[in-house]
Amino acid sequence: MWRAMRHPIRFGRDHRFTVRHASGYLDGELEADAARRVRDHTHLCPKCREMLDSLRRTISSLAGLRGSRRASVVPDVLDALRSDEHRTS
Amino acid sequence: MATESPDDALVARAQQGDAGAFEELVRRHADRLHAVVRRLVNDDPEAQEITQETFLRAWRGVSGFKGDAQFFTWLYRIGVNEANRRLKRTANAASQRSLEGLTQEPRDPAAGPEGRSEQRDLQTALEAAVRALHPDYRTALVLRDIEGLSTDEAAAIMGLKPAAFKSRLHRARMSVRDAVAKYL
Repeated sequence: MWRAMRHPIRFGRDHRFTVRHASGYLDGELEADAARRVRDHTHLCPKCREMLDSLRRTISSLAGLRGSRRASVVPDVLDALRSDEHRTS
Repeated sequence: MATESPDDALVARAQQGDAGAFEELVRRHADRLHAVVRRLVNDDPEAQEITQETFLRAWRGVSGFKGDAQFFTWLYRIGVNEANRRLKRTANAASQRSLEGLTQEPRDPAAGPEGRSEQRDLQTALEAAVRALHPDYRTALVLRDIEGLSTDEAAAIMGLKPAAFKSRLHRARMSVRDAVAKYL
């Protein structure tokens, strides 16, 4: 933390950078330099650590909404297609 | 040019008027498209209607499909655009009704262990937070985080460049995170 106190402007820039690129970091879509910048800042910044952690849990929980399977719509779609007057024979 | 996909041979046959080939494409994609659309419009009958309409339009337009995107990307774009067009037209009335229902839902007095109840609370809060998003943001989140498409696929469906899509997705995620923070 003392490093952050010694370089408050840089810390602030890295903080904003981390907030802006948090999703890309968690998705593994950042370039190596950008990912390192996020990782280094997060090591120093408890707020960003908490933000990344809660964002990671949010994304993981959203994936859990997938898969509530319902009755297939395929038969209805096929019926609609077969009765469509534009369909060629 | 998109890379070769397992749909290519069926699409080529459908473009020659082979209805059976197009029906196989329906079997491959209809249920997942319906799941996406249902998340967007928050209304099952309307989602079914949009799904049917999407395939009817796709059948009529398949001869003009140039293959510069994957077939399912093209198909989803038709469905997502129609869903968002309807959402904007109705000012999201259906979603608002459902959101009110969700937020006012009483806790089940016969709830099981505390952990299960907390999990259900989180799920309910997530559903409500997703429905409360503006359609443009909701679409990004549904495609990427709920349906699990890649960034490139989801961006292509929304007609966005990947950078613009990522920005939209990030805002959507942060908004949902804020809404469910106390359940995490």
